[in-house]
Amino acid sequence: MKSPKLTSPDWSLGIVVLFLMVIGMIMMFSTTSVTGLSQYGDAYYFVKKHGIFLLVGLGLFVLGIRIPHQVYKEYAFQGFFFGVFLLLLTLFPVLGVKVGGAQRWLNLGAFYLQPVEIMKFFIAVFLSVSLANKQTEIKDFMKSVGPILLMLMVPIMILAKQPDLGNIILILLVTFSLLFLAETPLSHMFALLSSGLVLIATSIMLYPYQLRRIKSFLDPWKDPLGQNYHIIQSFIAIGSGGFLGHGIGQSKLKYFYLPLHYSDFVFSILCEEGGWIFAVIVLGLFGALLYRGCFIAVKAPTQYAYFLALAITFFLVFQALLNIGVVIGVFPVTGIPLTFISYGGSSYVMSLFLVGVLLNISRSRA
Amino acid sequence: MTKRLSPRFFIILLTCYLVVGLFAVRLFYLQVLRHDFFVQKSERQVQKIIKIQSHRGVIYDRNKRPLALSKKAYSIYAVPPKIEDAKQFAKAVSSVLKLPKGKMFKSINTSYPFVWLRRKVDREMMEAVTELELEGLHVINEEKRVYPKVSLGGDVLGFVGMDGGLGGLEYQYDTFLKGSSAKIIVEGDPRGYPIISGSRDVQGTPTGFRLGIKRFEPMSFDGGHVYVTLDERIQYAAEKALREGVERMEAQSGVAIVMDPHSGEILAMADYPQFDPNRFYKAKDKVRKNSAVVDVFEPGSVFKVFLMASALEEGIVTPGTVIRVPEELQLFNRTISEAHRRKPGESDRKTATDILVESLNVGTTMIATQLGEAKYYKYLRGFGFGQRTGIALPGESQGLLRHPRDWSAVDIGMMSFGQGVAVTTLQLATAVSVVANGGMLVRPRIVQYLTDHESVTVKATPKTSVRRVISEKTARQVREMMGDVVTHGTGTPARIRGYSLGGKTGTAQKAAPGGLGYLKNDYVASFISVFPLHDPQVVIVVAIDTPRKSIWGSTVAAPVVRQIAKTIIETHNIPPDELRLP
Repeated sequence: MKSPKLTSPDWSLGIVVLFLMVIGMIMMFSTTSVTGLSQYGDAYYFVKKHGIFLLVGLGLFVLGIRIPHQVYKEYAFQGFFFGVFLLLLTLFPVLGVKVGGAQRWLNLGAFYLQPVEIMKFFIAVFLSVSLANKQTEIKDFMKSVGPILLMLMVPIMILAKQPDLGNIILILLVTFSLLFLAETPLSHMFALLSSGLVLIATSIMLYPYQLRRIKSFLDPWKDPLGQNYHIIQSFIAIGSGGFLGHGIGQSKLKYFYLPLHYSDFVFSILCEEGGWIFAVIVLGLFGALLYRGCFIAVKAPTQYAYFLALAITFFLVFQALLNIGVVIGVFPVTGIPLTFISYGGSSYVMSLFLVGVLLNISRSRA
Repeated sequence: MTKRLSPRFFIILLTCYLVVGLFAVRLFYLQVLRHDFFVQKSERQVQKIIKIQSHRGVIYDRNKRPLALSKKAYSIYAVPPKIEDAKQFAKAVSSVLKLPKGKMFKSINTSYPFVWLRRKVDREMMEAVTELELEGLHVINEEKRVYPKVSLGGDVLGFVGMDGGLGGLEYQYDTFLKGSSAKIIVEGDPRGYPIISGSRDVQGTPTGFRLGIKRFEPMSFDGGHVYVTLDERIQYAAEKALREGVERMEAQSGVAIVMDPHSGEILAMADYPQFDPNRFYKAKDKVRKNSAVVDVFEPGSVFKVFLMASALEEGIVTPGTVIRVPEELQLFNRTISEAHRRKPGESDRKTATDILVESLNVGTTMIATQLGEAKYYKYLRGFGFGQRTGIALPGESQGLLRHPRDWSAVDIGMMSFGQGVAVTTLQLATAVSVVANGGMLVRPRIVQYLTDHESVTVKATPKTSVRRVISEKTARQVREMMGDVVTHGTGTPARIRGYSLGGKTGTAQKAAPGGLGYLKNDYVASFISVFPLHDPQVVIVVAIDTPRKSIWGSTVAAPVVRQIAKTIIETHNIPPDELRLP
């Protein structure tokens, strides 16, 4: 199936992403050098590794632009189950790698792969195909929304086992946003939300540590050296940055005070070094990304492409917002990287691929 | 087909931008409104304080022999909350530290997290303590002050308590010797390694630097060294002579000073009884103070020298001026009389020299009244009486020299032979130096120079000539008169074969406490001297308090001076200069 007319891709989206990537590179140089030097004896250890991810990511980005997005539609189910299969592999002892109490990675020898990043793309494809097909039956829960959610429960269960709460929340957030846009009856949405709340409540009853987490989220200053150390250090980094920041490279918290300062908490260091101004610029860029993504979706040729563009945009932007929300203490701590900026191979590479797919959609206008 | 730009689409979009806006506000709150709070938090956790223990400097004598130095010592302390069994602990530790068990148990039976057990022990004891390997028992390095010459110069050097100098030079130069209790505040990571781009702040005064990455960095906070003017050999001789003199005469105490009259350098300053600064806590305050600068006494006849110098300078008399000196003199309501009865048939016609040689109270009174109160007072001030000499030793007294408006009519007479005034031994030595050096008042010095811990001189104390008091001619005349005192006057016991020596004896009744008259049997016997007389190299002053066997300056103090002068002959390589022997 070939689109009748191909225009040039939406380069303004590309420029927004490029800006984010440049900021990401700057932060990479600033944040990883200390850890690189002390752990591997090479200040550029992480930067070099990141260079490889960048090359792979750019390759996938070109592929994403070149491969017609309609192709994914044909292999939606195969892809979905391929993703589930990869996710499942992480739970096996030899293949799965445990880092910091969570078994989220596959050991591929040269590097670790986080299958959830691949899974997210296939979920996006799966949701778009399903919603585009079930458009007329959307009011019939048992025929549309129900089966879709049932399918999604499979990867979510595996993620819960890993555990990877951050990505579960992200997937649910994107799914519900798309369901909402697909005109799912509000009553259904409401029912789903309330049953979700019940689920959360029972989960808290079963695992009291989650309650503690929420408590500590509500009052982080109660135990600043214990379980709230992480978020307090993040606050200190952000707060000490001030309006203009210490200057790039001048962070003090990156010297092992703030854990994960180059991955999940890179935004704190960004705030410390660049100040409020820099933080708002980054927020603005994600806002622009959302705008361009939605623009591409609205102009998409097919209903499938519309949903796919939205799903991809949401995955990219919501992930960033979730990450920033955690870092600034608006959401409880969940491990999720900042799109295009955090150090983290799988997420970075796949994000570039997603942008490629988005640009491909933008080439074929309705 | 759903409508793409539906209300729901806008709701989603709006929500997202609302969240973005909310984040920006939240960031503004954290970064701008609460900025100061977090900056403080950040600084507090990043700043690491490195305490630097400085080494106390050394005190050297003029020949660079150490008189006081610091050695490594170890202090033992306990952390009571970490002690498992306090009874066992007290038993084991007390036997090693040689302390009473019960007392130690009491001191560690507390929840306070820090208790000194014993401070500044030697290496052996420290090793025995570490071998115990008890939980809650710790050792830290400290320094212990050691005086290798034991009591030598103890009164001048002073002593060091647990936390600093408490007496003498140790007190006077405490901050200089101690160095700076320094803190270096660096920005470091949680493990304590400094942050590359972090700042570096130094509290305390550094005394040494090294070339760092960006600039000179403070490297040392050690104290500097003090080089004193004392000569170990002369000091030893003075202390020995004084001790022997005091013991021979069964006196209470004594002071001796050897001073270079030209430079003002104090070569020896002895104060008996002595104490061992290594064990300063065993001596009483009375013993630990430096009587040579702290205590005052009525000088008695030695003071006549200064009246004579004033009168000569003013032209009232010449050494040969003949005066009729009666045996007694009625001065207003008071009778001035001589200490010794005159021999029968002795003439009452005396030269000024005779008055000094024979130490005639009546004669000096007559000269003093002729000189007049104002002029006499001016000269006494000129010689430095009634004022601190400004020597770098703590607790110096200014003595007592009243202004003429407070004098009664007889006071001028009394003062001419050394009553009604109070002086320190150091003031006497300084005043004698004026005569010895040709008329200049020089400031006595105990410290030659100060160096930093690397022996680079940071401050030298140069010779200070305060003022000219008498002319060179007058000084020479006074010296000749003092020479006569020793050759055929009261000072003969000080004579040394082949050497010229000038001096004057003093035997003063001690003033009764409360200023009511004088004590009947308590005297201060003193002797001031210039040696050698024809080429003055040193001034020796000895004052001995409350001698019992004899009371006279000639018999008590003069032999001590003689003994010290003999040592000076060796240290200064003085050739014999007096060839006509009687």
